[in-house]
Amino acid sequence: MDSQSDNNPPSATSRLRHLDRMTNFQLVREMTQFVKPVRYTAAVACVLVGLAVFLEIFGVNLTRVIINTLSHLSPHGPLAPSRGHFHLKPMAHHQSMANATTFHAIVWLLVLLAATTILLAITNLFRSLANTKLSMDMVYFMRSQAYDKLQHLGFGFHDRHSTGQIINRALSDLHNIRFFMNLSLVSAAEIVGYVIGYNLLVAAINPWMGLAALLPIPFWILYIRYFGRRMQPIQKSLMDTGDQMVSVYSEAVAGVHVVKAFATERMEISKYQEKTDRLFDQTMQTVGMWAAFVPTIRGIATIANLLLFFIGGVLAVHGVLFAGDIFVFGIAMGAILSRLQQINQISNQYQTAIVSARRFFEIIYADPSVTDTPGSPELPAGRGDVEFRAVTFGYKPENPVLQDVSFTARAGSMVALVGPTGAGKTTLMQLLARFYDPQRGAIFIDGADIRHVSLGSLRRNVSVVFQETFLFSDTVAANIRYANPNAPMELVRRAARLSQAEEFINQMPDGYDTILGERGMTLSGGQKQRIAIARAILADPRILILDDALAAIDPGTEALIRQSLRELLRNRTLFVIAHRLSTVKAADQVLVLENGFITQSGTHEQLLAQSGHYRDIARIQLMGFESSLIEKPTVEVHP
Amino acid sequence: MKRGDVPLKTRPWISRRHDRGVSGAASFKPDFEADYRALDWKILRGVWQWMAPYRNGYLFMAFAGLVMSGLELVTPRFLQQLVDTDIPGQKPNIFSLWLIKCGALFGVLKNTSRWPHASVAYLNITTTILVWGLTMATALLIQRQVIWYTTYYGQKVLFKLRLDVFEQLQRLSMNYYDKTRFGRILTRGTGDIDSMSNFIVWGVNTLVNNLTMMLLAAIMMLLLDWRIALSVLWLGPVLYFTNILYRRRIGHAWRLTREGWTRVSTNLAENISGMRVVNAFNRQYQNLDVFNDLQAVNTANNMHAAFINGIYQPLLGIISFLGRLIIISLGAWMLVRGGGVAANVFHIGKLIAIYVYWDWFMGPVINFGNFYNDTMMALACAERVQTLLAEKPQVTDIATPVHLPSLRGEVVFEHVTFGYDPAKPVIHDVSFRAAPGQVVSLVGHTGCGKSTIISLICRFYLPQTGSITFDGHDIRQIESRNLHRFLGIVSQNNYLFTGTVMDNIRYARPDATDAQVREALSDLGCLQQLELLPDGLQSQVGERGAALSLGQRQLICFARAFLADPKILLLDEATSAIDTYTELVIQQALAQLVKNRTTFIVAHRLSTITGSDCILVLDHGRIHERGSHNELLALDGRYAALYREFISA
Repeated sequence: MDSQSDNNPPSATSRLRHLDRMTNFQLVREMTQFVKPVRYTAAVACVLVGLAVFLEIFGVNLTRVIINTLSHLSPHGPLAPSRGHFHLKPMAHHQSMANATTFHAIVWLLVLLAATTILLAITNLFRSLANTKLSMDMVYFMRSQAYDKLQHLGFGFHDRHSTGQIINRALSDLHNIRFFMNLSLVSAAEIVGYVIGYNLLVAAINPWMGLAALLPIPFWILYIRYFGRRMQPIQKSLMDTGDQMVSVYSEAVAGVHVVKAFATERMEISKYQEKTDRLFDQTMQTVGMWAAFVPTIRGIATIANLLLFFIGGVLAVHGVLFAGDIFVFGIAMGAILSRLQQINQISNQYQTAIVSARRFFEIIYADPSVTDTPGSPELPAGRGDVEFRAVTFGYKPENPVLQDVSFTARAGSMVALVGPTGAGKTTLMQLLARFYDPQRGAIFIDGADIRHVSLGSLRRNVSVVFQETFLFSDTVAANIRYANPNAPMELVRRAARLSQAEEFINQMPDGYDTILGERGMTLSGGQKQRIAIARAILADPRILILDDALAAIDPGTEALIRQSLRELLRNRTLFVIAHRLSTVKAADQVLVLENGFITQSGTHEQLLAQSGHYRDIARIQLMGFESSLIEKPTVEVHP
Repeated sequence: MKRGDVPLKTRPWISRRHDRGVSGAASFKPDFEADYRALDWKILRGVWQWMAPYRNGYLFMAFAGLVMSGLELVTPRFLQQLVDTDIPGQKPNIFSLWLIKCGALFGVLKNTSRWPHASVAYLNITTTILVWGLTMATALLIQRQVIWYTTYYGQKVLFKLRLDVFEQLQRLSMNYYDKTRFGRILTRGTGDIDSMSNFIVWGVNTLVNNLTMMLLAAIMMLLLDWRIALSVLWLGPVLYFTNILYRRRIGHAWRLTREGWTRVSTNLAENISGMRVVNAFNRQYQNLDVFNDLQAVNTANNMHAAFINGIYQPLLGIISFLGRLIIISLGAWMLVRGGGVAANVFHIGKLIAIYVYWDWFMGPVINFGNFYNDTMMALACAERVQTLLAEKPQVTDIATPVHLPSLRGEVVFEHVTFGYDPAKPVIHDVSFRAAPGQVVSLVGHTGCGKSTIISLICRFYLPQTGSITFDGHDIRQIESRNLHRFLGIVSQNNYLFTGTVMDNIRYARPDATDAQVREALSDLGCLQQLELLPDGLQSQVGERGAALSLGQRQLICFARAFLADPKILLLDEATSAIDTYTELVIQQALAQLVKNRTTFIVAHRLSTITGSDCILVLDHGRIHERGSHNELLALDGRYAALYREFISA
């Protein structure tokens, strides 16, 4: 994907920071970069809009001519020449003949009008197609870019933003933008087209009238701007409250077992009610504003309209204008007004689209936590030697989670990481897979600094089984062959066998073709972990990391899995984060991590011989067999 | 929301959309848009029930809207007046006559009969414009009220519904949550209600207004000239049926679009949720290709819908144009022969008025198409919401529940049989007794029913046969809140709510003071660990606790249960995610904790439970062995085998 390199310009941070200061207008200008790939469609759409406007106004003008001609048909005959005197000249002898000619003309005018209407209908068809194509293509491009970017942003971004938030940005926000682009921007172009077109028409009939028709426009613009400025903050807080309300709702649903267990239903209800009450108040606040907005916009139009009709009426009395002309003013003002009715819709969508665009750019301009330098070499051949050299890392640089961590792991060995909750074990392993880059120090795999090899080749060679298992809503087989979608079925079976998953998979209704439910909900924790291990086995990595991935599996099965992994990974390196001594005992090397430092390292036996954290936990676990902790609190274990 | 692609021909007083999508960006789209089908009166009655408290308000506002429409409907007559002013030999028109009469009272504007014609014309123009302006001003003022009140009533109904849905969800038992997908439940209270908003707010108004409008316009036309009126009004039904045909076609196209879109969004949502796995297995490029393929299908579907739309919309326009053509042609012919019909002289102004009324007439016909669509969509959502609201909770308090002031903590299972699906029991004839203060452990392989027993104690489900009693009271008879006050559970599925650590710990006892929370934590021995968090106990736990490690989350769950001070403590594999050291700390605290409580423990690590008073070994939902650790070892049965496996591992 060559688009990727455009996504990650070196100045991303500065652009992100710049985003906060950007005005709405600049934001819109920033959006135009997405119009570029669809510029030809955009041009066609513009031409079609122009054509449609022209045809419609031409049609109205034809109607005017027809009505003016009709007024010649009236039984009193043409009025214009004699009107100043209000004296009727007898024209009866000419009348029937004149009527016949004008009637003839009217027939032809009507034919022309019909042709115009049909042509307009056809133009509208193509216009609708062009509009859809334009907005779809643009959003396709934007969404695809956001998706690509999200996949390459690394864990940092995903840590900071909740899943729901990101999904919302990529779906709803782009939806809002598309809506704005499709309906609003195009209708804005149309509005401008029609306003200019009708004004020209009116001006062509009478320049003074044309000028008068322009009168309300500045008032409209001023009022809409004023309205928008007042509306935007309310709109934003409305959206925020809405988010909060949905969040309370979804948490109460997702955590229903907690709610039920503590019987806190009423508390949840009042929490929810508080949000709905606030949202209701804010909604009514905006409704109050809209309720004033619509009549005001129409009011301005009405005043202008009446002024125009007044002038028109006076001019008609003076014989400057005809009935058809006044009629055209009515049509023109009506048309302009009905287009302007859309302005509230447009400005509404504009307000939402602006907020959405800002959030969209937050993704596009976000700094990836790790960057893949284009053209970096593959990971060199090797068997999985790992070296950490004085690695210091913190999710926030001022709060280091790992400090000056150094160790080496020989290829083919099994390394166990032990330590209290929050000591940095998971973080250490995530650095090895380069989900983050350390602030200081370096990590080497088979002699190569992992920052200088391509991410793809690195991740192909380092597989992680995460603490929290995530399975895709797909078949069991597809989940296992996730890393290698073309793997033959034998490999899938073998991986499942090795991870002790084969038995229960075979018991499932469709075996390997069973579709796992939403996030694999229908499986037990242990079963999910075994499928995740099978997935990692099939990936055939040089280095395999099990991040507490055996916790939900019973000890017997775990021993079997470990055994098969050892065999499988004879020439590879296995990292295990575990609490169970039984697991740790089997390791070639045990690293004890406390508060971000490696405090002890060695084999199980060596560590047992030293005093320290390891011996403490070993004693606790071993002692558990003799005397239960529940019965007799063991106070003597403290170092 | 594909409907948005159709340019809506909206009447000014029906300002749609501004009340749409109240929950903003976070709203979840409904499962499906309505397909074309017949009206279901039962659902409609249900919706009408929801509106009950504001029915009068709704109807009054519909009436006010009608008055407004009526006022606006007069405007073509003003235009007619204006256009006809250039007819020579003018008499003062009705408005001028009013003015003259008023003037006469004050002694001005006398002897109008001697005025030059031009002056009469000016007067007529001025008065017409004035009356027109007054009419419009009144109409606009009414419009403001109509918008405000109608939306107010509608939003009242909608927000009440939101709360009802939520309350109902809180009432429903676990079995509902088991059988219903998370996304669906989410949609009921968000997207479904949002989708009804247009209908609930503007439904009555639109219906009353458009119907009356159409009728009035038709009557006006008939009054102006019945011959022309009759020759075009028949186009109304034609237009209506074309519209229905179009809706049917576009409905199908939209369904396709929707399905395609669902695929795009599900793909995206899932890959973002599983982003860590995606990255770990390097699937970014393949995923992007799949995503773009889905998007391409989505684009094609949208183009198809746009094509149908593009064919039909202009067709509607052409039918409406046909009407205009007929009006003008007939009008022209009548003007020519105008003098002939002496009783009814046909003016050009009349023709224009008919022309404008024709537009008034056509508007509602097209509006009805949109309205019908809204209605269908709203009813589909309403049906789903009504189904939810009608759902009976499986577990409810009986009419006169027992309220226990205190509990000793005796738990007795008597011949309990239970299955999530009654046809497939997972617990068979289980009987046991836990004396107050005893520790009972449940042991067995995955899926043997350990967690189910815990759920039954919590009264998440009711057993199909047999009974569960606390201190001799059947738990069915105890009031739910009373019952749960005595229960504390820590499960393997640790769940935290957005908020601070402190908020989460006092979840079960919101009135606990900060000092009490600290005390509970230090009793548990984990105060220090949690205070190490960036903001101590005031740290945000993030969405579902995402900002914390699994162990930290589990500690908080422990503290939460502890602070609740339960008489019966349930630990469902509560310590599997905690490191040994922390576990030790908790185990030590538990030794104190369990003293005056009846405790049930489910654990994989058999070392945890060797000291239990009673160990129940479960196998396929039956109690296979029971006794203390030593008794069971002596028995040398299944437990002894499990234990040997555990030590050697």
